[in-house]
Amino acid sequence: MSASVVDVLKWLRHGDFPDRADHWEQAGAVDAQGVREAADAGLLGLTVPRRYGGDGWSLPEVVEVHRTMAGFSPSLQSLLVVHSMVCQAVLRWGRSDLRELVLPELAAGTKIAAFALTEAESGSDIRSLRTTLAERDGEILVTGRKRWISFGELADVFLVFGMSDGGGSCALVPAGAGQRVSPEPPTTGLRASRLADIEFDATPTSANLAVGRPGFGVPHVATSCLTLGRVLVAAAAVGVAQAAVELATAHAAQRQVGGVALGDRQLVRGLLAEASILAEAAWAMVRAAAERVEERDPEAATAAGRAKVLAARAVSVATDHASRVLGAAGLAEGHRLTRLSQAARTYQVIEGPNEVLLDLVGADLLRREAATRQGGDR
Amino acid sequence: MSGTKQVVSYDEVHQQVREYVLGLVGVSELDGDRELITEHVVDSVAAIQMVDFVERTFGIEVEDEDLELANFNTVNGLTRLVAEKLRLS
Repeated sequence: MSASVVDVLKWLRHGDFPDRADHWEQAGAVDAQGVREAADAGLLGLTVPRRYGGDGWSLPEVVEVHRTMAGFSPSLQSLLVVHSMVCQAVLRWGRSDLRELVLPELAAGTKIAAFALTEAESGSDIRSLRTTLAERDGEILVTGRKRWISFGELADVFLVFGMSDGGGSCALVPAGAGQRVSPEPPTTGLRASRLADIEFDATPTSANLAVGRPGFGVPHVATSCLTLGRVLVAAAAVGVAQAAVELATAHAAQRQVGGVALGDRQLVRGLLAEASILAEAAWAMVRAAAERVEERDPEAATAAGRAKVLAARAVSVATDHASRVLGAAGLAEGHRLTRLSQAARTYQVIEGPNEVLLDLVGADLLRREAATRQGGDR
Repeated sequence: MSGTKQVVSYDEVHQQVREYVLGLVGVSELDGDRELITEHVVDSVAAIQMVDFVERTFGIEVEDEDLELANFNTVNGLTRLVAEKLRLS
């Protein structure tokens, strides 16, 4: 179970992982065996402390794995994101008996967890959830519909957010009776991530599976999970950006046009350089944000938002530039660059669209300004 | 932890918590009993920042039993929580 960072990175880059990952992305689904292999490699318990059977890695170590994996399989990386978010919710906000009960299974990957926050009418505005969690006689009845839930088709347990009498709440709900799970229409990016539309119809779950007290699910649990998710998605965006730069550079080095190597043309070098600079800048920011989240720095959420915005820009520019360097070859359906470009578009949206995160960062700047101005009055 | 400071009195805790929350809200005055979360005075990010702030600044660990909204919803509630954890009177 316990794996070293170097071992895992070796496994991802060599052996048959790149080929298998390619197959999942082409087939449009990470299969159960793929998930099993990821679990066997210890990938589902990276962020879980050793005392619960996890690898106990620090977040700056974990982002290395997410960056590398996303270059090959953005879809499998997205499974690690949602599973890690649920682990984080239980670890930070769950009661000690709940941690003992579920973390070992989540860390071993014998149970796969999905993060059920998004609703059709409530995307980034997490305070307007319509799903309800009604507690009575030691049970919580969950009613509502969750959309675009990554790996919802494969998950054994969902962390469902909704409103209760005590405010925004969340609870683990085992997959099974009282719910209808249907696949979402195919998406262009992260197409193998088994997105599901899930309807809960007074689905019962044990009150012992509540994570955090009523009123803490939203905002506290949801926000701290989203902060982690943003850092991990940003790491993935950097991985995809770097993969695009590598593809474009290899092509520019070999391809001759009119007797001149593409790489000898200054405009082509400029495209490569700009993409690479943005990707490396984003990576530095992702690592810094990971440190802040690890240390529970109060500025972690803003740092995660900043890093995700830059990483989304970097991946957008890098895949766009790479596509111009590769020309028609890179536009073919099934070409690796096409899949990287599709993932790049997805990264503009998931875990908070750029505009929402820019608003978060801008609001933080204005708050600081106001605090500085008011400081003199105190 | 790097941000941990030696705090000796209830009043000092109150002062530090108050300063931090004033900064988060961007105002110069705030009633100690003003409901920050339930009245949406602070956004969801700031709600987490308050938890991170008291944990780091006062070297305490917020446990499940501390997760009562009353402990996090007001400056006075936060102060009481920290003081209780540090056994200040």
